[in-house]
Amino acid sequence: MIVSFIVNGEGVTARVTTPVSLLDVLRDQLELPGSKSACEQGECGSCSVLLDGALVCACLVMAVDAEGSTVRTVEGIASEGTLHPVQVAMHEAGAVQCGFCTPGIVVAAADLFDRDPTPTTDQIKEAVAGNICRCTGYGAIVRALESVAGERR
Amino acid sequence: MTTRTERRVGRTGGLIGDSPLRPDGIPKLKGEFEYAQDLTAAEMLWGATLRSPYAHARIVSIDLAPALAVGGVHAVLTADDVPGRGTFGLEQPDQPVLAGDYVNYWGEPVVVVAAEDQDTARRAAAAVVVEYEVLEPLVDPEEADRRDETFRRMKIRRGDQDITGDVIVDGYYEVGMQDQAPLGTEAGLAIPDGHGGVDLYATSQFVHVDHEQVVASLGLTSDQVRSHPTGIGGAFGAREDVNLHIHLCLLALHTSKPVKMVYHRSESFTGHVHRHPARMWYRHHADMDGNLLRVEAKVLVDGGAYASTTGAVLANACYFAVGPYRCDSVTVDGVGTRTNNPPCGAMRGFGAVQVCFAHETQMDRLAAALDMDSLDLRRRNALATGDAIPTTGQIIETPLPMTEVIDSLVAMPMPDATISDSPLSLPGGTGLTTEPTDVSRGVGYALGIKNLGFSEGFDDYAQARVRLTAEGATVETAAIEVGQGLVTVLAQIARSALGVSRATVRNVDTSMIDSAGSTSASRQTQLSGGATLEASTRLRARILHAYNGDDLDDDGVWSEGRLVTPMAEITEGSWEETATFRHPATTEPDENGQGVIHADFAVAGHRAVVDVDPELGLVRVVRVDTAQDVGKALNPQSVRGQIEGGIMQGVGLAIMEELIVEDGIIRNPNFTDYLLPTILDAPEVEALLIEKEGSWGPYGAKGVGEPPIISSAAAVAAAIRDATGRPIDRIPVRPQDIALL
Amino acid sequence: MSFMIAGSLEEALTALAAGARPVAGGTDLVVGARQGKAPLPTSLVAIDRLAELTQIEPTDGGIRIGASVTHARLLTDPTIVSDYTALADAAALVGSPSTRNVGTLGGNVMNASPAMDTGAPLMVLGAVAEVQSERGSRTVDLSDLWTGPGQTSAKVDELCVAIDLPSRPARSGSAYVRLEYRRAMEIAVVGAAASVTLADDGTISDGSVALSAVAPTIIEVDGVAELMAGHLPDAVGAAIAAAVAEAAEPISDLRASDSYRRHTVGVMAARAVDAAARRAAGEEISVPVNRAIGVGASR
Repeated sequence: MIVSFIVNGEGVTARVTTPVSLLDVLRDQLELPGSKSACEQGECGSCSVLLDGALVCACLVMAVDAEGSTVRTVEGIASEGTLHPVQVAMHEAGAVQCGFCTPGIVVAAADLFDRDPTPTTDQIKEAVAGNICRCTGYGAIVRALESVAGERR
Repeated sequence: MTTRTERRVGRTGGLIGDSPLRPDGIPKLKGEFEYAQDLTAAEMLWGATLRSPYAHARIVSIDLAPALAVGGVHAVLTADDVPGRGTFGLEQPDQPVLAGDYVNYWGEPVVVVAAEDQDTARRAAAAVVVEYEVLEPLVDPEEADRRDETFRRMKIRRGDQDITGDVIVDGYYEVGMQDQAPLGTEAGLAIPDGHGGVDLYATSQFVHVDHEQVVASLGLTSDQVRSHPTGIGGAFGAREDVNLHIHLCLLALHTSKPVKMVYHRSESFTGHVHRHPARMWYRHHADMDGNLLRVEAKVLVDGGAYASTTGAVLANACYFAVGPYRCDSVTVDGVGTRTNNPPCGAMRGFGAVQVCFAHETQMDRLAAALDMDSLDLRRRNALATGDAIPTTGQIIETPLPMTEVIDSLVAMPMPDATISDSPLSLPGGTGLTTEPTDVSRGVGYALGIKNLGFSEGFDDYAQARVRLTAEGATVETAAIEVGQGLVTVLAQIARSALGVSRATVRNVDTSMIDSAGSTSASRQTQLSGGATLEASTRLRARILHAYNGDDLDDDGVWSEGRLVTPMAEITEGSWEETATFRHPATTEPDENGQGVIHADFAVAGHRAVVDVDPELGLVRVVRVDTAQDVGKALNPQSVRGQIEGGIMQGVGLAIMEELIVEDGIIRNPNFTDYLLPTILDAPEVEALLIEKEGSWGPYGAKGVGEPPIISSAAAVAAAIRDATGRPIDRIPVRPQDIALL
Repeated sequence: MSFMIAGSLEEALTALAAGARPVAGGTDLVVGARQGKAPLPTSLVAIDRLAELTQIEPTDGGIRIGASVTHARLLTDPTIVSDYTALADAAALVGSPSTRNVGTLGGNVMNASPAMDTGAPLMVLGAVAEVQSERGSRTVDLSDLWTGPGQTSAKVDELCVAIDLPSRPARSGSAYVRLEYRRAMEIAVVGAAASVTLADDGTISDGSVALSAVAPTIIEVDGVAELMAGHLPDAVGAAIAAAVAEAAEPISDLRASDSYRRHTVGVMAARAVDAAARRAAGEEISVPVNRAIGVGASR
């Protein structure tokens, strides 16, 4: 069947035959491979996207159920060539190593700062608690996101 | 943003000792970086693997017809379809590309399929009917030891073998099976070249050894296979062995079409090797003053079904069985067993992690038996430059600041003794599980030592090529960036050594350059960095010589303060230098395990602070402080990244990460049941870098990737012991090990 | 596979009567299909956009929570947080922020996992499930609904539309306490919910305890009210722990041994009773995550 929705401001359609996930449709059909597939069961956050404004794991969303929805992926976080402050801060803090978790963390953190420009450290940690990073030990990620909150305070 | 980036780079210059921004940072942050998972090719097929559901069985028959009947299937291949040697392995080619008469572990590949999409390929693989005669698996490594089912035995005898101490401490220790769990699963794409050869783009730590294994196992010639470095989501040892590489090439050559494979997570848990589980029996002897007189140890690591790197892991475990301490009487017996458990191989720390938990627990117990401060005991026995490695007798020639590490660690401030009542800071998760009054705090220390680079006479080298063009310097290498920041540091070295401000790193395939060796053993900064430094230095000298100059920078060649040739003129010519860097030669061990076995060593120490709810056995690691011997920090931000990341994996090993294997079958091959630490589990980390130059690495740098994990797990275990009084002789520490004793 | 997004409850019930399976997001199906596990249903009806299932509304005798209300909403809803705090405690512990955004109360209840976090709170709060089909509507006690791991007594054409909770007595409080190894994205190793009502003299007048992950279904512990009645809250911990350890029938699995579960579920229950009693007495004990991130108060 055909599913139509909006991704990063553009209307898209995809043909899906099985209970394929939104993640697979984004990556395999819509040429948006930025969302990563790492655990396939909502336990790592690498595929985090915003679905109608709510942070979700795209691997857990049935693509057909995205009909009529608005999706924002990591590819839609920077706007018109300008990086989101979260991206700038993570780059500068050394919060990117292998980078496989990075898109998911960018989406989850951008979502946090869009809701609350000056979160506390606990709020920052809670907001990305669903995102596993295997490389950094999280220290640089915390420092990066604290610096975003600090600059806005 | 652009202006900020430039300002930052401009400020730091991107030279040695700076922390320039990663060249791949922005693409990764925007989701534009291409990983092996993201590769595509026209008319690409998808591969899938059928794996053994048994730990040990005889294959009676394989019926491919049901798979071939699935629409869209292009190939269904078994061991009979594998040309050439048909086996692979890093130390010995003992592992079949596809199982023939027997399967020897749960998850062993039996059939591979290529089909028009991934779903079809997986369905077709599942449709193959294999008849097995199930056999009794050998899963007890001690039984394997008794039956002499082994990959390697180690014997180390040094000094007086009869001496006994005034104080003797015995211990038995276990370390569970940890998984590297890189976030990117195994993935790759093989593209046939139309002339019987193939280009392979797959997750790897070492493309030249992949190349060698594909060539040999499939009976190809060396020039028929090109292995290309590709973007990967972490490694930690999991990508040192081949897994899908040979299957991809086999399918691509068979179908004459590009074939892609991506393992799903549970397949990844069977598709790569794991950290060896270990059992260790120890006896420490000391005199009344706390001088270590003798250490006896037996070390058993279970290699599982195939050799992988078990021999080298076992050797490392035995060589570092005493830890960073002087001792002139050492007896170590080691065995790497062959069983029907999942194959084990490389993981960050490579044998040194397991024994560190044992020797550090022994040191704490020895201190208690002597009624001595455990750090005083460690300080009294600490190795230093000029001492002999206690196991091998090798004299340490490079700086080894063990005493400085201990002193620095002690001097680092302790966290506030008040136990926080923030729900995010208490053991037992983020619920109401535990209150501050339920909590005991503990502090533990551990020290670790490990070799850098490959050992035991291995010809360990790296090649790099440096070019100078109008675009600046380009470093060409086949060394794999796994996330650690090699692409940043090699450019820093080229800038510093050549004298130009623009430098980039370009990965090239196995046909274009000789090996860089493996991105493992903490070696690439030293080895590929050494090759980059040498190539850059030679290139600079040649250019200066050609233009009669005494200095080179972005403007061109200078002589006595005057620009003699502008860069534009210089780069009209072709300037490149290729250098191969080797570390000091090592030797194979003699029959007593003695020799100049290692090229270099690094030490580190960790102090862990934990809060424990003893009634429930729940642990929160509050803080891990570390001092680490880094030689020279070429990129302090990257060094810190390695330290924090390695400590997190050590904390994971200490309290939650374990593959549970029952009767040879992994029971938790997924991220729901194999627990990886989250940001809420991460301790605060303070890291002190001890810079004592004198190693043979570029600018005196030492490898930094592994020391952070070696003693961090042991320090956390010691802290839990301190908080609870429980023995804690096994890691990961399970809550029931604390609560039910 | 046919798929329909239901535009009304009637439409959904018609589809169920015709053999469709309800999905709210389809999480389990997506994961199951990818792993090639359960056979796929041929017909699905999505119920996650039915406005009538997403309401939290007061009723004559309490509150009605639509089946599609998410965990994210439960843990911040002022009435749930203040009056039905154990449910907010539980919702706050589920998964991660993203799974709390999609996971629903009705989904939890109908999945009937013995380790579900919201189940024990619902039990001690006296919840009943409201299920509907084309044949009509009925309410079911949770102890009758849950028949085994992943099994309910609901018929295939019945849809859980809401959970009804009775009003809370004066001087009452509730709490859910869970044991987990990791600090996010965890499943209960064991869990315990308690509800406590205090008499004017500070002694317990009524109470109940229910347990997660120690039996084939969520279970309520018999005789707890009698055990606690007339005693001060800080005097009942040991008796509660003993009664709970007696009632629990835990198994050994990957995550814990039966003896560890039996030991810890007693501790969990005693701590849940303690927190519930303190909330009943008016002490501020926030839903922990909410406190960390600065949301809401509770009792």
